[in-house]
Amino acid sequence: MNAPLLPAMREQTRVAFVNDRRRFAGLVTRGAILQIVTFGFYRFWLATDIRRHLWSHTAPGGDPLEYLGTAKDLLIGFLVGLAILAPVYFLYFLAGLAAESVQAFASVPFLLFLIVFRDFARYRGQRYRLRRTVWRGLAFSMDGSGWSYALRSALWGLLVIVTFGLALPWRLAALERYKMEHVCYGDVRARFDATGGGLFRAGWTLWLWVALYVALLAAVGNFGRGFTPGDLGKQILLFLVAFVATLLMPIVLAAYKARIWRWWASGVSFGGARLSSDLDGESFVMIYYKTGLAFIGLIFAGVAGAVLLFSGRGGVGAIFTPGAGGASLLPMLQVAGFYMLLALVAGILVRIFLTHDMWRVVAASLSIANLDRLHSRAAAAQDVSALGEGLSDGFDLAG
Amino acid sequence: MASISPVDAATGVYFDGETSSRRTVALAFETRHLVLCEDGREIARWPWSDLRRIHAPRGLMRLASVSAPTGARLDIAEDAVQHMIAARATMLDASARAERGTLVKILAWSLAAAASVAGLAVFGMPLLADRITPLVPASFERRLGDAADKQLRALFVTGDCLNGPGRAALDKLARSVGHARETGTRIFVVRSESKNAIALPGRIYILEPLLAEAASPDGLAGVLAHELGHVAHRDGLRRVIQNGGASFLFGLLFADVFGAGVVVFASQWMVEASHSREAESAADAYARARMEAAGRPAKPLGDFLLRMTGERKSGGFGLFSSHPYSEDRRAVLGASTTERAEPLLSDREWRDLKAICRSGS
Repeated sequence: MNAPLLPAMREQTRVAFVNDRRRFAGLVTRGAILQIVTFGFYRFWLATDIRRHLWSHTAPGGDPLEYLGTAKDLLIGFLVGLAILAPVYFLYFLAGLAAESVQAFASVPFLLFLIVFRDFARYRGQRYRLRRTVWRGLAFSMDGSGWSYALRSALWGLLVIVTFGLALPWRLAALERYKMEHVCYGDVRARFDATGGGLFRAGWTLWLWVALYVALLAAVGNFGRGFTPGDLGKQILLFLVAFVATLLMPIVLAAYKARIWRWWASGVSFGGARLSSDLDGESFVMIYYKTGLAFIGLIFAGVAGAVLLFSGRGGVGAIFTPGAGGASLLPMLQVAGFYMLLALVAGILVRIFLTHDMWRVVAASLSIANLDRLHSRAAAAQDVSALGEGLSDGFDLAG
Repeated sequence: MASISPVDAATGVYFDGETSSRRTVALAFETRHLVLCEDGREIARWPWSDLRRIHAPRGLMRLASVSAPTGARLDIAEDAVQHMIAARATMLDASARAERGTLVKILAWSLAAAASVAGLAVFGMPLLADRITPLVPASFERRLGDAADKQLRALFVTGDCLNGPGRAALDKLARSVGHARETGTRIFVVRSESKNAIALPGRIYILEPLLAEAASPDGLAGVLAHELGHVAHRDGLRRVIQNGGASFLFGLLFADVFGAGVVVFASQWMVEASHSREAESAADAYARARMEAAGRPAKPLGDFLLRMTGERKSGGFGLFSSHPYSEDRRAVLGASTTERAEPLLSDREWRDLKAICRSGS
C-alpha cells in the first residue's frame, strides 16, 4: 500500500482526518486574494473549495466523504436571500424615516424576523450540505422544513428566556433531535437518542463557572467605583485575579464545548451503527490560544504598519483630522490598501485556525461502532433543486 | 477477454452507488476498458474515456465513470496503478480543466457586476435621489438635521456667538436676502477653528473665522443666500439619500467580504464629489437671484469664494465642497455687478456683526 496519509484499511471504525494543512492554507490564501480581485464574488467558489477539501479529507472507516455541491448553488441562494432581505432592510430604513417612535416600534419585529430567518437559513444550509454529501457511493438526505425548525427554535428560545437560560440543554436536544431524525443515509434513517437531561448533567457546572466569572467582573467594577486609597492592595489583587480568570476562561469553555460534542455524538446512530466521540477540551484550547496569539501578532503588525504609514505624511494623517477638509485620492488608496491587506490576512488566519483545525479536531475524535451492521441502499432519486438551498451560505451565516 | 495487464495485484476499493457495501476489487487493464473483478467475476467495465477523477486527499485516486451509476466510485491507493490509469484515461481531468476556465469567467463577470453597480451608484443614485427628495416629509429631514447637528458641533464648534447687536445685524442681513421665507431655518454664528459655512436641514452655520475674513456685507450676504439655497433645495437630504443608497448597494452586493467597507467609503467619496458640483451651482444661482432681488451684486460672493478657496490645497466640505472653484461658477456670479439698492447694513451694523463673537456689550 502506498498511501501514507490514509489510515490502514483495517481500522474500520475510526473517522480519520487527513491533515494536509499546507494544501488548505494554499487554497485559502489564493481564495482570499481572488476574493478581493473579484469584489467578493469569489467567496462562493472559495466556500465550495473549502468544503470539498474538508469533506474529502474526512474518512470514516478510511473511505473519504465527497462534497457534490457547486458554487452556482451558493450564488443562486445568495441572490434569493438578497431578494428577501433587501426589501426588509429597506422597509426598516423607511420606518426610520417616519418617526423615531415608529422606528423603535419597528425594531422589534425586524429583529424577530432576522432571528427566525437566520434559523431558517441555517437549517436550509445544513440540509443543502448534507444532501450534497456522499459516502461510499451513497448520498445522505434530509427532509423536514426550515420553517418548522425556525418555529421550534423560536418557541424554545422564549422558554430559555423565561427560565433564565436553564432550558438551554433541552432546547438544544429538541432542535438536534428534529434535525437528526430527518437525516437519512441512503435509506437508513438516523436516530438521535441524547436527551436534554443528559446535556444538563454534563454541562450544568458551566452555569456556575460563568456566574462566578461574571460576579468577579462585577466585583472589580464595583471596587473601581468606590475607590479609596486604603483598598489599593485589594483592588490590584482583585484585578489580577480577574485578568488570570479571563485568560483561563477559554480552557473552561473548551472543556464544555467538548462535552457538548461528546453528548451529541453519543446520541447519533444509523441503523445498527453508533457514533461516539472521545473529544477532550485540550485540543480546542490549543486552537483558541493559537488563534489568539495569531491575532495579537496581527494587531501588532497592523499598529506598526499604521504608525509607519500615517506618521510624517501630512497627506494621510489629514484624512482623519476634522476641519482639514476632505481627502485626496492617493492617501485614501494607501489607507484602503493597508486595511484590505490586514483584512485579507485576518480572513486567512480565521479559516486556517478556526475552520480547518476545529473541523480536524472534531472529525478525528469520532468513531463508529458496529459499522458492519450498517447496510444501506440508495434512496429513491430526490428533488435536487438548488433554489434557495444555498441560502445561508451565501451570507456566511453560522454553520 | 483481451490482454490482462502485468500488474496482477492491482486492486481498488469499489462502491457501486447502490448499496453502502465496500468491495475490494481486482483491476484488469483492457485496451478500451478498465475491468473490475470481484472473486474472479467481472462486476463492472468502465471505458477509459469515461473515467473522471474526483477530488480526493493526496495519495488517493478516486474515480467515477460517466457511464456508470451516479454514485459508483473506485478508490485506488497504489501510486503505480494510479500512473497506469492516468496514462490510459485521457479525459481524467476534464472537470478540473473546465473549472480553470470558469475562473476567468468569474473574474470577468464580477468586474462587470462591480462596474454596473458603480455606474448605478454614480449615475443612477443622483437621479433617484432627485426623485425621492421631494417626497420625503419635513419631519424626517428635521431629524436628520438634528443628528448631523450633534456630530457637527462635536467636530467643529467650540461655542456659540450670541452677542445682541451682532445678532440683530445678522438677522437684518438674512432678512434682506429673503430669510423670512424659509421658516424654521435657524442661522448660527459659532466659534471654531475652521473657516467655513455649512448648511444642514433647518440650520445654517457660519463659522467665525469665515466671518472675520468677509470684506463687505455683500460678500457675507452672498454666503448666507448660498447656504439658504442649499436648505431650500434640501441638498443635505439629497446627499444622504444618495450616499446612503450607494452604500446600501455596495454593502449588499459585497456582503461579508473583508475589505468591502473600504470600497463603500471610496464609492461615497466618488459620488459626493461628482454630485456636489451641481448642488453648488444651483445654490450659486439661488444666491445670485436673491442678491439681485435685494438690489445688490453677487460678484462679491464670487470674489470671496475665490479668495478663500485659493488658500486650500486639497478638497473641502461645506462651502468649499466642490474644489477647485470653477470658471463656470465665477462666470455666473461675476456677471452680477449692479448695485440698485442701498448697502444691506450700515457701517455700524457691519461692525456689530463682525463683533458678534465678542462677549459682553
